[in-house]
Amino acid sequence: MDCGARGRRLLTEGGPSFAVSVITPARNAEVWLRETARALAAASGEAVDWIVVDDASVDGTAAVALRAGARLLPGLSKGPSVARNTGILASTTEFVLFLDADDLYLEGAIDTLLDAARNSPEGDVYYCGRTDVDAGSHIVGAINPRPLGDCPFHSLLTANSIPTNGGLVRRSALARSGIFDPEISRCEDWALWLRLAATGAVFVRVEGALAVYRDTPGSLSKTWRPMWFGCKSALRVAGPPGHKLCWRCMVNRRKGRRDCGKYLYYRAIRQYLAFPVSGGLRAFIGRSYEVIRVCPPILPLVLGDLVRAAWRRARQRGGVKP
Amino acid sequence: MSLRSPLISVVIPCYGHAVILPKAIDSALGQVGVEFEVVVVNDGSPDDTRGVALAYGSSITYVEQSNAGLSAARNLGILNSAGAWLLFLDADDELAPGCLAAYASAIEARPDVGVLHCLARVVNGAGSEVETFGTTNIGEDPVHRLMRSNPGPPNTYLVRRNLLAAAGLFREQAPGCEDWDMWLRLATSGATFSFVEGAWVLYRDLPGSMSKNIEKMMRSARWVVMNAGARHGWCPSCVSAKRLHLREAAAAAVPRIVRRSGKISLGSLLQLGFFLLRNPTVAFWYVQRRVAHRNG
Repeated sequence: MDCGARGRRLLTEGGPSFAVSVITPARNAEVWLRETARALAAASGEAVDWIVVDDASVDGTAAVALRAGARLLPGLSKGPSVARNTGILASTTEFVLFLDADDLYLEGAIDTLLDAARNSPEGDVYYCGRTDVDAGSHIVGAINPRPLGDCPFHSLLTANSIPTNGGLVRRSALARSGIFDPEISRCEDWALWLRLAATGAVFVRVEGALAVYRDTPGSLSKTWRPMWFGCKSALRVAGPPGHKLCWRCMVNRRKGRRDCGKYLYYRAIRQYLAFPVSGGLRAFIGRSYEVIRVCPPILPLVLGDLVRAAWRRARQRGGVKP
Repeated sequence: MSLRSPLISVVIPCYGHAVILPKAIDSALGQVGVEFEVVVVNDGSPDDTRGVALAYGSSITYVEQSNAGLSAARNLGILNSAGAWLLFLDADDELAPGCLAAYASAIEARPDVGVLHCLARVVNGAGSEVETFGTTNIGEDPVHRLMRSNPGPPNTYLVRRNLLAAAGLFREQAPGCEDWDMWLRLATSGATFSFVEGAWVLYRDLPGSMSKNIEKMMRSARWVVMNAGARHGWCPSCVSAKRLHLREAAAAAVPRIVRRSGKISLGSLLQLGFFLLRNPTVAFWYVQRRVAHRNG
């Protein structure tokens, strides 16, 4: 019996046929959606099924999305994971992409991903690299996709190297892995990639930093705490069968936690601790105790900063010669 | 039958039940008075499930995957269906005539409800009725009622599709109890439940089905209940529901192990001993249950 690795729809009828659904959770995203729609139109030669899930917006999100030709769905207003799940359950295509309302694509990005999918049909997730832009859409950096090696689960544990909007997912692979975990509100994409890898999905690397991520550091500073908890619960995803006591999984989980802690420290927590010390040493120690208790991997970073600050101060006083 | 926007999708996963599958499909296709579709998922079955299903032509939707388990098969059915409501019919079970019509009128009467459930008549291999499941209404306080026990087989429930976004798909971690896990996740994510009078389904209690392995089922049931309690924050009602569940599970498991071969023997008592060594808390809950019974 010819049974492929994936499910196949043998009998279908009716409806316009798209190859890919682009799912966009949107809450009060009127400002971004016009530019997103333009980027989406430029990213794909053929028409895509753009599903915008309106998650209780109070601005003109719905009107803008409808004018841009999107399929508008009401969300359950329980966060981006649930909104994306609503989109997945309403889509009918072979592939899905998760595009956040403020993120973009380079020109021809979806075509490149779909070409990769056609050239290597054995894959389940086709992933590309990431271009970072600032709030004004100026490019600030680009990262090519990291090869995931022979065990994608192990390499994904060390870092979330697949951008949210840079993973073209075969929908039938989601039957084994499940959809986004509704209980995680940050790093939920990382958890999904890990679960896909754990359930045996095949990852195919697509050259180029095609997915555009809008990097607004201000948004992170208030939310580093849920971000850290999200990272921890994403890393708790169970490995593939037989990996229960795998030492590489354990080592890589630690590595992933440390990397996430480091990222959060330099992007958000450091500002919160107000380095160099302001408001006195007592305030600093109190705050850093509070932060380290929540996120232990940043302890060496805080100590390093503290030693460096003390060294600098001593040099300023002229007590220590360089 | 329109495939564009049916009201109800009947998802039938099938592994090794090609002989009995036509009964399930016919019972679904025989429903009248409602827009519905039937999705048959072949979970890499070694028998001729594919041929049996494809013989129905375009009246059903057929999808297949290499063997990945019941949860993955149901999930594939969900992802390939279009109905606003989902019903999970196992290949060895059936829908009663008029079942979907009763559901449809219940949906019209209460458009705000999330999950509908009905009763199931249990028949044995010979086809005679042995008992009835799912007579309890879990509409009030569904979380704690469901934590106590699973009131019915999967085909007694009808779920609104978009609520799965907040509950997730079926999970493989609870082998044999993944349907119960799903109803509990729906309940803890805030779905409302309602009992439907007049609808019923048929559940076949076949020897050798997965629910026969006592210890495995007990453990995965405990996993499901503990998970639900953690999601609900272990409120006082959760704790007492968990207590009731563990008591009942112990009271059901112990006699079944002792009388596994029909009568009490030295061998079965030894089996019980090893079982209690593997699951020491069962002894505690068994005694608790006896004490509770003596005190009325």
